[in-house]
Amino acid sequence: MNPTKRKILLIGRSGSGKTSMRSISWEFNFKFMDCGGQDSYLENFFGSQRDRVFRNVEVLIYVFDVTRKDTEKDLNYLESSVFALSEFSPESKIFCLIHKVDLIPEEERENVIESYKEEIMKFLSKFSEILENPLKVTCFGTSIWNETLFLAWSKIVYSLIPKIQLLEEHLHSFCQICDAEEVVLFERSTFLVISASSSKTYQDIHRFEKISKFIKHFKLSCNKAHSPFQSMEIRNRFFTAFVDSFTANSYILVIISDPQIENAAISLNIQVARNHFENLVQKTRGNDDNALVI
Amino acid sequence: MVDLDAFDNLYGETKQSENPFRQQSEFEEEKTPKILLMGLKKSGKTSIKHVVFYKMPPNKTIELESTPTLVQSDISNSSFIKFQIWEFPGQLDFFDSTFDSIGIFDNCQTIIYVIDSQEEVPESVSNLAKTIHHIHKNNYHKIGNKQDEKTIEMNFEVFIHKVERLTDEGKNDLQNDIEQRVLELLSENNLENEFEIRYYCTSIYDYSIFQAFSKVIQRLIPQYATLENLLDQLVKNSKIEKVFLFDVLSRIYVATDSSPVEDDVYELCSEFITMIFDFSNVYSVGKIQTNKPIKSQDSWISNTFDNDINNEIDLEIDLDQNIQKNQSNSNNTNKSNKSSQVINERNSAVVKLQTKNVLYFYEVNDYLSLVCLIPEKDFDFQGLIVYNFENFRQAISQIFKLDHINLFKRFGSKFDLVNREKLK
Repeated sequence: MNPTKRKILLIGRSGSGKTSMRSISWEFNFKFMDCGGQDSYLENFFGSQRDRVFRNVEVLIYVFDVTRKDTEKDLNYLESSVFALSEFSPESKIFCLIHKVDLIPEEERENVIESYKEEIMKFLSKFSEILENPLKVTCFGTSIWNETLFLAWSKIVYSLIPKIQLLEEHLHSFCQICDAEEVVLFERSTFLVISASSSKTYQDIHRFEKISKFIKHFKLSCNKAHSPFQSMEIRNRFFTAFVDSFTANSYILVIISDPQIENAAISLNIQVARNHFENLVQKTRGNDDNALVI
Repeated sequence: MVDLDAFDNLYGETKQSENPFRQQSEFEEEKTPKILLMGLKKSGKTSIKHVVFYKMPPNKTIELESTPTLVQSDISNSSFIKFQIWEFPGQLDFFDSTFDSIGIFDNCQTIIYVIDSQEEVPESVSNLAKTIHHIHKNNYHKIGNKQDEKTIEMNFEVFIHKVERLTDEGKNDLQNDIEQRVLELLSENNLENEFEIRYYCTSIYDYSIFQAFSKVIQRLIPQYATLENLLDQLVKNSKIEKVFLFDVLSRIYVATDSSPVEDDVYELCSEFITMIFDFSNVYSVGKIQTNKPIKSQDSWISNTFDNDINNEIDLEIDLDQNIQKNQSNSNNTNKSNKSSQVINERNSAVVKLQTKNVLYFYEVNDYLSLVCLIPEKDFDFQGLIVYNFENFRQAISQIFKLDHINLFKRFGSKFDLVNREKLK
C-alpha cells in the first residue's frame, strides 16, 4: 500500500452508528479508516498508534450519538484528535456528525442539534489560540433515515475535491451552453452530489438526494438482472433528462425543458463536455497523485 | 405521460373516477368484472391488495388489521382494466344458509383463493374444496346472461402465499401436494374435472405476486389473444427481445408477446417504470399547472386516444371518420419519418445497459405503456421503432374502444408495421 496515501478518519464511540452510516459506501482514491469505537481501541489510537493513525489525514469525521448525555468523554476524544491532527496533518478538515437525530422528537430536533453544535464549537474554540493552524470544523445533524446524511456526505466529498470552484464555473457555463434547466454531477460509486448548476430555482431542495436514491436503486436492479446500467434518457412533456457516465469517476445529469432541443444535440454536448472536463480534472489534479479525481 | 393525478388517485380506495375513460354507464356497470379474494383469516388477502394496488411497501403490511367485513374496492382508478376486488373476510361463514351469497357471487368472474403456505395448509385446502363445492351446487360459476345461455365460466386462481422462505424446489413440491390434495377432495363430489384451477406460488416480498396478478388479469381480458398476436408482430418487426404492455400504476402486465417471461426481465422492466415515475415526479413539480401552448400535431398530450374516448358516445356515427383520422395520422407519421424528423412526442425513456441491450419505455396512454428489451444494434434505427410503436398504440386504442360496442372484430387487428427489410 502506498504509505503516503491520504485517508478519511472515522471516529466515534461504540454504538454511535459509524458502521450503519457507512452503508453509503465509497471507494475513493482514499484510504478509509473506520476506527473501532470500543474505549480500549480509542485509547490505543491516541496512545501508541497516534502518529500512524493521524498522519496523512485529509478529513476527520467524528460521530456523536445525539441520544447520549455523557458528551464529556466524546469531547475529550475530539480534543485528543484535534491536537493529534494539528501535529501530524495540519491541513485536515474536521466534520462533526451529530448522529441519530431521528430519535429526537421532530419539534425539538432543531434546538437539540443547535445546542449540541454550540457545545462542540465552544469547546473547540478554547484551543484556537494554542493551535498554530486555524481549525476547519463543520457540524451536521444526521440520520440514516432521511436526507441529512446524504447532504453531509456530499459536503464532505465536495471538500475533498481540489479546485472545486473551477469545476463549478465550468459546470455552470456548460449548463448555459446547453440551455439546460439543471446540470448535476454525481460521484460514480456513491452517487453523492459533487456539484450542480441550475438556471431556475426549484422548490424541492431535496431533489438530488431523491434522484440519487432512485438511480442507485435502479442500478442495483440492473445488476440483479445481470445487465449493469450504462446511461439513460427520459423524455416527457415537461423535460428531457439525460444520465450518462461523465468523467472517470462521475456521472452527469442534464435536465432540459425546451422541447425544441433535439436529444442528439444534448448527447453531443455531453460528449464534447466529457473531454473538456477530463482535461480540466487532470489539470486541477496537478502533480498531486493522491488528490480525489472525479 | 406521467399523470400525477392518476398517481394520487391510487391512494383513494373508493374514489370515483373523473376520467372520461372511466365514465360510468349502465352498460359498463354491468360488465365490471368482479374478483373475489378469499381464504382463511390471516392468509394475507389484505396485504396482497395493498401491496399490488395501493403501493404499500411489503414490510408495512404487518401493521394492517384483520378485515372484519366484506370490503369492496374499485380498482378502476389505478388500473387500465376496470374491475372490483371484493375481499371476503376469513372468519365469515358463507355456508350459513342465512347468508346472502347470491349477491356476492353475482358477476364474479374470478375467485382468488389465498392459502398461507406457512399456516394451516390442510384446513385451507379443505375450505377451498368446500367453497368450490358450494359454488358448483348453487351454479354461481356460470356467469352472464342465463336466458340465452351465453355464460362464461368463473376462473379459479389459487395463490400459495408467503412462500418467501421456500426454495424453488420447495415451492414446486408444495404446489404439487396442494394440487393433488385439492383434486382428491373435489373427486369426493365428482368435481375433479369440472374446474380448471390455476396455482401460483406468491410472496409480497418479491415480484411473484405481481406476476400472478398479471396472469389473473390477463384471463379477464377478452381481447387477450389479439393483444398477444399484435405484440408478436411488433416483436418480429422491430427485432425486440421481449415486450410487456404494462398497466403503469399497478405494474401489472396486461399482455406480453408469446415468448416465455423471465422473472429477471419482468422485474427490471417494472423497476424501470418505477424509476421513470419517481424521477419524473421530482422534475415535474410546479410544472403541472402551467399550460404550455401545445400545437395540434404535437401530441405531447396523449390526444388521439383520449379524444377518441371522449367521443365514445358518438362513436357509432363517427366511426368511419375516426378510422380515416387514424389513417391520415399514420400517413403523417409516415411522411415525417421519411423526412427524418423526430416524431417521438410521446413520453418515452431509454436505458442503455452494459450488456449491449436497451430498455425502451413508450407511453400508450395514461394507463398503459410498452416496455421492451431490444439489442442495442437493432435500436439504432429508433425512428422505425417509434413508428411501429405508434401504430401499435393506435391499433390497441381501437381494440379497446371498439369492443365497447362489440365492433372490435371488424377492425380489430388491422395495423401496419414496417421492418427494415420492407423499408429498404
